Amino acid sequence: MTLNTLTLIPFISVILYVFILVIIITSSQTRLSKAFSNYVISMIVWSIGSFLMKLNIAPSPLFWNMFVLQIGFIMVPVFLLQFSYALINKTGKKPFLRIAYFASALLIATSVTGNVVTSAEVINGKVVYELASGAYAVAFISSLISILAFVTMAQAVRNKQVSMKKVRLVIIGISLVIIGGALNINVFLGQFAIDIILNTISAVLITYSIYRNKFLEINLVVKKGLYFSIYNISLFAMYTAIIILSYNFLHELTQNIIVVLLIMSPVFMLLEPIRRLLQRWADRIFYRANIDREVVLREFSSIVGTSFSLEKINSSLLAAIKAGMESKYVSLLLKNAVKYELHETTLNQDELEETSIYFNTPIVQWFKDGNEILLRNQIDNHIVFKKMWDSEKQTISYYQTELIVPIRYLKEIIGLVVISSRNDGLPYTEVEIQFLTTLLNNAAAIIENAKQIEQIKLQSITDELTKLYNHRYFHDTVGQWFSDNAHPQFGVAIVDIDQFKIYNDLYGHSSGDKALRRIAELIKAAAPDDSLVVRYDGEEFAIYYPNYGIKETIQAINDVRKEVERNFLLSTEIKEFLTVSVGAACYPDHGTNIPEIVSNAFSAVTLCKQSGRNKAIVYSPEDTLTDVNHDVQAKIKAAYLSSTYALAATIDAKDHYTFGHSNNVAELSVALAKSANFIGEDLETIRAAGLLHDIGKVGIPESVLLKQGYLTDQEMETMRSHVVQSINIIKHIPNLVDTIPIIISHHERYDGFGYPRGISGENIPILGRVICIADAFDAMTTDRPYRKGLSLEQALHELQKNSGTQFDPFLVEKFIGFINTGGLEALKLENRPSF
Amino acid sequence: MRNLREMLKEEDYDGIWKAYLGFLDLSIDEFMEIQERLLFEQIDLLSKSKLGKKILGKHPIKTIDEFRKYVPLTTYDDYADTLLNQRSEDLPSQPKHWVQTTWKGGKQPIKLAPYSPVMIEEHTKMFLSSLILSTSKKRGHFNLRNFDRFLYGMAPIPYLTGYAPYILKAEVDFEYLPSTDEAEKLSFRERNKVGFRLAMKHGADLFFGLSSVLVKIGEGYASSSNSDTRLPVPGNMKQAVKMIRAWYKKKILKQQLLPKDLFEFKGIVCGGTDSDTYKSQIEYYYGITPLEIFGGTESAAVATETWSRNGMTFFPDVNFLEFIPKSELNKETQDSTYVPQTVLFNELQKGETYELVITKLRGGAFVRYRIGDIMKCVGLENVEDQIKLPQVKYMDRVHNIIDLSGFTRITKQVIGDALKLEDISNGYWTACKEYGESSPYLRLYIENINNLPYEELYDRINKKIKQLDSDYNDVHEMLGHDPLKITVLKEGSFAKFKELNQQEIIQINPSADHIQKLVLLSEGL
Repeated sequence: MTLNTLTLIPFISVILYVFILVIIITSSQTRLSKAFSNYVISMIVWSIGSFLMKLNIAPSPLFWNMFVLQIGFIMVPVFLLQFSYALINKTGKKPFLRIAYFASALLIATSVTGNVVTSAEVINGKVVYELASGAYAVAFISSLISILAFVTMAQAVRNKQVSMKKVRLVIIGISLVIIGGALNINVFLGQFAIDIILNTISAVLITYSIYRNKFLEINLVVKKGLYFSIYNISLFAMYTAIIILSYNFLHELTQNIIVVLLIMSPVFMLLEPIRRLLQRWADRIFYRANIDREVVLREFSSIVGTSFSLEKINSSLLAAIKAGMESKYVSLLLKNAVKYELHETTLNQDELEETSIYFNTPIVQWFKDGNEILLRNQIDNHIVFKKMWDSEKQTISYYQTELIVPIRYLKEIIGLVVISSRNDGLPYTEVEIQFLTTLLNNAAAIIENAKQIEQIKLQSITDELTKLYNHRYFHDTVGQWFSDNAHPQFGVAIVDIDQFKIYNDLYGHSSGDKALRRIAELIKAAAPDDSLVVRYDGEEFAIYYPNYGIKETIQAINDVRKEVERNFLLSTEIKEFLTVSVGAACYPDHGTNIPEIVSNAFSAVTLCKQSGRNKAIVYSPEDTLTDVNHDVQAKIKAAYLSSTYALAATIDAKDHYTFGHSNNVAELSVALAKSANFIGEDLETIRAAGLLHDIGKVGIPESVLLKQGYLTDQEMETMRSHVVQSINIIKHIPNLVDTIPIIISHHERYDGFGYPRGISGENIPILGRVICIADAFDAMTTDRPYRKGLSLEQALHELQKNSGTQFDPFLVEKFIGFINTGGLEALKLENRPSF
Repeated sequence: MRNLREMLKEEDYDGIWKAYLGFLDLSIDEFMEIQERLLFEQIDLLSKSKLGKKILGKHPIKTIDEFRKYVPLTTYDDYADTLLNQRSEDLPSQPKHWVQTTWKGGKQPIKLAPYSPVMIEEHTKMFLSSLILSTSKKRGHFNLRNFDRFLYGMAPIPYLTGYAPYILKAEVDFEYLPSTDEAEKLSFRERNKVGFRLAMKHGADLFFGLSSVLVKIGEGYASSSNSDTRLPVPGNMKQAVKMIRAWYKKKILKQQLLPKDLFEFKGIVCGGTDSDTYKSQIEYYYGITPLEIFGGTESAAVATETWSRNGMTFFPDVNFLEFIPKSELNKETQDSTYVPQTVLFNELQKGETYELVITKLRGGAFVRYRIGDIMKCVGLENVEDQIKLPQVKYMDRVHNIIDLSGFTRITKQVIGDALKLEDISNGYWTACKEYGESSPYLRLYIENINNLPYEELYDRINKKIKQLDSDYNDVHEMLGHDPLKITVLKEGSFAKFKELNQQEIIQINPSADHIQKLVLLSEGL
């Protein structure tokens, strides 16, 4: 028996191969693992043959060579070919493999019949052998098969069936096998077992490749065993080598063992850093760049620890995930009132219409059910996700989702992190997921905190009602732009809602707020994307048009005006009468600074108001309201009024008995208003309201309007609708809009049982209550076909009787006082014979 | 998403089962949750399309109840204008294919149904689910594999079944017998013939076709009447062994040769209306029970049998399902203006019969659409297969149509026209479907006014119907038997019936009771 270094080579490779075989057979059993274990077994056979031959044990080296070594040697390339087919997932018929099997059977027959090696002896510890002609056939065919395996792999890489990254170590391994096999032809080189060394390296490379690229799901226990074995073996070898080397070196200097040990003691101290280095290497091999991730975590913590900016935290988080997970893309979605909205992404493609994930999606439900992670595979295949909408699936595809992880803060899911595949296309490892979880746990509180600060900041510059920016933001931002000279020209528009106070009085503040919100939306929609829209004050909005000249500004503000007109005044909804007056000024034409521009825009608004409202005007220094303009405006107004009054008169004229009613109500109302101390514009308004209060009756069919006797419920309903119809007519007449609250209230009762709104007491506009009395008084004192009109006394008695229920008691008192002082005689009443 | 091919390569059988058959683990509540959520997706899509707006009407729909209350039940007439003119822009989603089927008794000879890419994807998945199930003997186990040889005996493109081989190519590697390229050049009949020859030569793993065709071929082997049953040169060792055994059995033992001696199918999937009738025969001939899949052009795949072959389970995400109970259908028969009420999937009752109403999900065109199929709920769960969802069996087409072996649908018009053109009827006739031992028949009751000999009467009517309805002709051609049976009644029988019952007998599928009365009346005359 001969034992030397050359004998040790096959021995070590046997141990290594057995180790590899254990890993493979304890892994998941697939076509690949089966093919690879065949390859390893044949290598074991080859190495055992070589080892026993070199040991020179009985029966003879020739025996071990012929019956063991050669069989293993011949089968290695065949199984290598099979393995390469399995690795590239080749399916279907494999004729070359069949031929390879057949050829190897022939070669084995050649070998065992003594036609490959004729003699093998161990001389001076070296194996000396003689080859027969069959050896060339073995070398040729085996090389051919190995080359075929190599070509198969290379082609698969070229055809992009597998990535070069995944199989490069396998290709190197196969190349080593080919080289090793070819060297055996040389009898001299053959004795050094170079082939076995190369094959062993090849097997290690392939095993590492299988492990690293997850070709097989390696059993966790084996994985840990492998990790500890490699780590400890290397550590042991390193320690031993250092100690023996240093001992030998020192021993030559001094024979005193104590001295040697004393001098060596610093060497022992050196071992700790070496151990750390080794551990880092082992970690790198088995757990990828573990250390890097720790650095990433630390860096992230230090960045976000000093920042309250949500944007910065978000981008740092994404950068940390991208670095630590080696992901292609990472996206962060944060929770708002209705959905998880995209805040930050490293994706660089066009945005999809819908990038948010809504609360009611199965994805969110999945996390609410306590799951910590969602894989793409689960979305595709798990039954829970069958109910996903196609649009939701498109969102998932948009993010190139491979993995979704929630960010939880105090049991609430405050965000979702959507991660695409790794840069190298490999699956994520457990360690990476752990890293992600740690990172997100750290980030959760910081994000929530930053979100809240952001929220408070936003609130301070946002108008709560319309969600537009406020006055302060406008001046801060526009001021900044101006000082930065961001836009060489721009327009500023002020949008003022016409008659908004009346609208508020009429429909209440809640309706007013609703209208404000609606108008804010309309202005925002009509304004270009790069403009800035703010709620400037009360019912005023401001719009900043960057890079707009006068011409573009005129067009833009007209669009705003038209949009509001279309949605309110011209809408089918009768009660909507709002319009806007829009004034604008442009830089540099109309001013040299922001306050001047804004002030001129306001001047333009005033001009709009004075020229009849619902206008859009760009400021012009010459274009002020002159007396001539005033005259023209007054004439237009008069023309409008007279045509409207004529219309009202036709209503009265329809019925002989009501002839002159509108005029009388106007006269009586003005008189009563005066008695109640109203003066100036209010008297004008109530006169107009008195004249127009029944104008809605134009829309009532004569069959109902002139019907004698009782009205049916439906007819009564129709009759009553005249109040609302009145508004529909009046809202289109400029300058009469302020009569609306009065007219709409003239059938309300003080006790709340009137119509159309059923409001009571002080809630009824006072001028409405005035008309109510005047209207009733005129109606009572008029003759009807079925009764004569009441006398003055009777009428006053009726007013008195219904004071506090139908009528305002204060105004009834005033009215009776007015009558009793003979005020009636001074009035120009028409068609009233009863007194 | 990994497709079936990749999952099979990776031997991820658990993953495949979860992905394709996970719906079998649903509870009824989970099933309804999927139905509801996807219905609202569909309503959302519909409300953005012209066709959808027309059908949904003006009421905003926020609940399933509102959906059933405000959206009317529809038939193909409601869609004909949009679909037959292929107005894609009016649909809820852009179609990739326009799938065709015949419109028996309709205004046009064909019906078209739009299929968007998502719908195709879903349909493919459902079809694969059935194929996998056909090779399964218990939950979680199946032996469908890449490179299985697939004998595909269904109608070609533009029919729905014709698209499957092309669509499946993206999903899994099957070897089609004959190949799709070759099949395109062959007629339906030739394709089946060539397919079976190739199957005999190389072996076949899967079959999808009409159950009646399988039975017919089976009969051919058993009777040796068919020249196609001559044994070809085997393509591989396995088939060679089979053929030697078959030859020995036939020639030496002189025993009857059955298809199962030559074929060893892993799975047989059958469609067609009379699958249940043919099931036991297929099992006898092929040694394997076919798996029934139910679907149609407008609905795509609707339901599939599972490994016990005892009742079908609905797919949860292809159609929103509603059912019109028999009682409601009866009310409708009595009063044509009556609008029948539907029940939902979770309201099915064991033993009840229903007409199916579907709303196609995933951007489909059909809303509350009456396909015209009658099903029976055979149980609220499948205890044997541990499926906790209601199980149904396909009964027949709605009663105003006589469906024969899935080949043709005979309408009142066809029979009426045939009799009129031959001038051998006084207008009094009635017809119904009868189930023979091995196949269904069309039974015609008629008064022989011209006193023609029976054979002549039979031949003239049979020939005329063949001329008028080519699919009826195919029943003769493909299955080799005449499905017509005639009972001659004495003159005056129908009039007498009317006199006694105060109503004429219905011309298609009258009740068994009425037929019996009619026959007795005839005998009494």
